[in-house]
Amino acid sequence: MTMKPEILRAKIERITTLPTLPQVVTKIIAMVESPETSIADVGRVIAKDQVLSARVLKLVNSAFYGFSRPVATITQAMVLLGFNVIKGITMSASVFDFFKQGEGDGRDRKPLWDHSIGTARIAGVLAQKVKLHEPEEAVVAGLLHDLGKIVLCAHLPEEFAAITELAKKHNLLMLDAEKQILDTTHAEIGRWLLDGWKLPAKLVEPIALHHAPHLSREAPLTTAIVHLADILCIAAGIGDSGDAVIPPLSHAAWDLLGLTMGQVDEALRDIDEQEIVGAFV
Amino acid sequence: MRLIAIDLLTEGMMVTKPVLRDGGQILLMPGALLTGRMIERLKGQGVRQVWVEAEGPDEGRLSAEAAKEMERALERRFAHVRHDPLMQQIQEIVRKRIRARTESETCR
Repeated sequence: MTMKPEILRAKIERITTLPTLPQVVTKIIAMVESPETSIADVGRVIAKDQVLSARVLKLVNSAFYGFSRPVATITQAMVLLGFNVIKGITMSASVFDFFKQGEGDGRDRKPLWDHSIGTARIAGVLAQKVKLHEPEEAVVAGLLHDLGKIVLCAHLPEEFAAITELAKKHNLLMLDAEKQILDTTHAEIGRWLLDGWKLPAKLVEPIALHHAPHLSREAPLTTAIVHLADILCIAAGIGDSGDAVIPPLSHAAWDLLGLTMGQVDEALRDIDEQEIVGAFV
Repeated sequence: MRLIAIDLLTEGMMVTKPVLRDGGQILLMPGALLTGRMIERLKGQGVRQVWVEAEGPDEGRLSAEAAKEMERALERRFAHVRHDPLMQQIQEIVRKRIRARTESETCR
């Protein structure tokens, strides 16, 4: 890359303000932060926005959550999933938009999308196995764990292409290629965005620290789950994260989870049995 | 059970999870067998994917050649973590899964 470091930094700083969240999502995030807000209050705001309520219901009823009965109302969805997950879902809707916008622009985002979905689904299965209190948070974090790459791909396409090429050429992790070209990483960029969206640390850390799970203080278990799910997804060859090699496993995270290899095998089998074919949720 | 994009659905597939319209209204219940007309109607209602029963036992099978390529790719991805016994076990799990899906060469 021949771009001067200061120009690059300015570019990266500019992308921290993008993509913006729709007004209704910003409003919901502010409401959720207030202790006086009730589930019914938030439900009313979501229900007023037809597009958003349709999306929330579609997601709640999608493969991610696997409730045995259909969830028909926003209030029901909120009771089942909790405030933080609703926040995550509204954000996920923006991520879906990004992938849809990318259709046909010549840059193939589907492999990264498949990797995100795969990681989310594996994270959901692992969360159930370790009996995580709020397994849905692991699903949302899994879906958004590579948010930084998504932002790079959308806003710094040339640099993103150079990073992907460097990773392939020299058998590197995306993380290491990013450090060489941008002097930062997708995990860090993800953190800038999520902090800007004022999300709680327990949702930010699993995304920002999925390559360094031992640093998580607020959500060590969810972070460890997303870390392992990412590795398993790449190992199983689901989608393409851009990494030419597999990220190393944090033994501290593995110990924290207390899983057996038999359970890892089961998790991958569960994913296979509910295969998603040609679907772009 | 598989989640199939609407354009890839074919007649005779059995629905395994409720199909919902935007807004949550149920269009089809588990057990329904899809017909061409139903698929068209679902498209008209904006449905994009449906959970259906998995097809015959051959689905997801790999040719010996494809399996070999997958194993080679697996080997490359794990080459730098050979020193880690845990990563080796994960690699072994994935390798076994590839082999289990491979058609034996004498079969076809």
